[in-house]
Amino acid sequence: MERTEALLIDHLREGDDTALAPLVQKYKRLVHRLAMQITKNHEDANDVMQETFIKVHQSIHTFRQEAAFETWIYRIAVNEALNFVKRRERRREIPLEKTEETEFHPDVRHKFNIANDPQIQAEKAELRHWVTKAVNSLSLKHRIVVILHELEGLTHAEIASILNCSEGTVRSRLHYARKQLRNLLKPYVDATKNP
Amino acid sequence: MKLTCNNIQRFISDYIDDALSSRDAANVEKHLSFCSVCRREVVALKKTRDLVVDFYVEPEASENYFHQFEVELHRCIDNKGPIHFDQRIRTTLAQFIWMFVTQVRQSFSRYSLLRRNALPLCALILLIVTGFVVTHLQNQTPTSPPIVFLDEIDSGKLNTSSELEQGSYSECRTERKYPSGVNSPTSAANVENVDYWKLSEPMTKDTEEYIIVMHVSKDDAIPGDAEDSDLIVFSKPDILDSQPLLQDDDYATLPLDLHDAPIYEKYQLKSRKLSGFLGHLMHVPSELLTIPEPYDLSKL
Repeated sequence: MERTEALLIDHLREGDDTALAPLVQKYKRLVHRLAMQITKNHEDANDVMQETFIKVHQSIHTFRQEAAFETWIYRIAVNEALNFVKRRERRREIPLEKTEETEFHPDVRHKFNIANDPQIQAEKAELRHWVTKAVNSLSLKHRIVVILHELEGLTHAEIASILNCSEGTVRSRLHYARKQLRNLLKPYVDATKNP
Repeated sequence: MKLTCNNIQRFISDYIDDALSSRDAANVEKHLSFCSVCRREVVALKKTRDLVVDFYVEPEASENYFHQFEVELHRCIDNKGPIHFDQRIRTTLAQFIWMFVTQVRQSFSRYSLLRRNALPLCALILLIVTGFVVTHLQNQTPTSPPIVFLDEIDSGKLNTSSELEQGSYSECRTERKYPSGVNSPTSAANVENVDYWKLSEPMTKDTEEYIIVMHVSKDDAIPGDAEDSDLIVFSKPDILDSQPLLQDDDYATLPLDLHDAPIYEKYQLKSRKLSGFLGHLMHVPSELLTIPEPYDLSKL
């Protein structure tokens, strides 16, 4: 019989380790995605995933079901990933990928036109490349907010709870990040037709 | 709210997320109906958001990768032994009690003096334990003035408290006075989106202050810099009522970098031992703060 999430959490809390596997199964992709987006490094992402689930296993008794379990996992994963990035920055072994703004000069003003273009797949691939690069070039705190809001679909309040900051800070960072992205992707923003 | 472009700009991001109150949304729409510059900004930000949502490539991994990860994770957890904190505490406590009882038994068998005075000794130990428990309970009793923690401000808990009155002071501006010889990055910092909580109870015995959480947004800020840090400010109550300009002498600012979770947790633990909001400000560890050049930590 398939156990519900609440039941799994109860069992894990009571010391039944078999309850962890279904939870890992359910959330592994989410945690991996977040870890990769924040650390931008496969090895670190793997370590973040492991630390996150170990922490879930060890600290499940501290989870007071006031918030959703998913939000709790988000919080742990984001904090673990941030710690990894900070440790890495301190060690200076692998510098953070910092994309210079000057790299963003894709001249697609006249080229990018989705409708009836024979090279549409190639252009979409190029667009994916530049959009991903633009998001990855944001500073860590802005990137996290963009990832959690635009890509994971979390609300301002949920993000504030995960990052342990105020909703105002989340909104402000999101606004600033969007303005930066707009500048980085200006040629594409200008090239797409108005709705 | 004045319908200037500057006022509207900070609402645009929330506007495209439908995260504004109906009154603010109506104000924005009213402004957009006659301002083409802001209308273009809204369209550009919407397009940017759509580009990110539609074209950002999310990292993926193979099933094999996840399988290996799960195997490794379970091996790791199995090697860790008793994992729950309370289990660890119970185990340690049991070991400690066993050692203590063994020691006492050995002492009794060795020293007849101890055996003869066992009763007064037990009474003395009982007295000490009772005294400790009573003192501990007294310390836990809430005392005036109320203690305000920065984490409560940040998590918005104060917002819902009946003791507090929330408001906004959108016209607030600060002018930073820079000492001679210090080059200021900007001549004046426009402070937007100021929320404040007014305490009905004074935060300290002598004065009543406001806690103001400001979100500064500056177009010319360096990316990754503290351009949108929270500024925790305390000032005297008459300032907000009487004048739109906060002078240096009226307030103190602490731009907090709440991103560093371990440091912040350490700070929280430390700060709980202090009393009063001013106490917090005085004892904020320097590594938590990004104090702008003109502000001297020791003066705060």
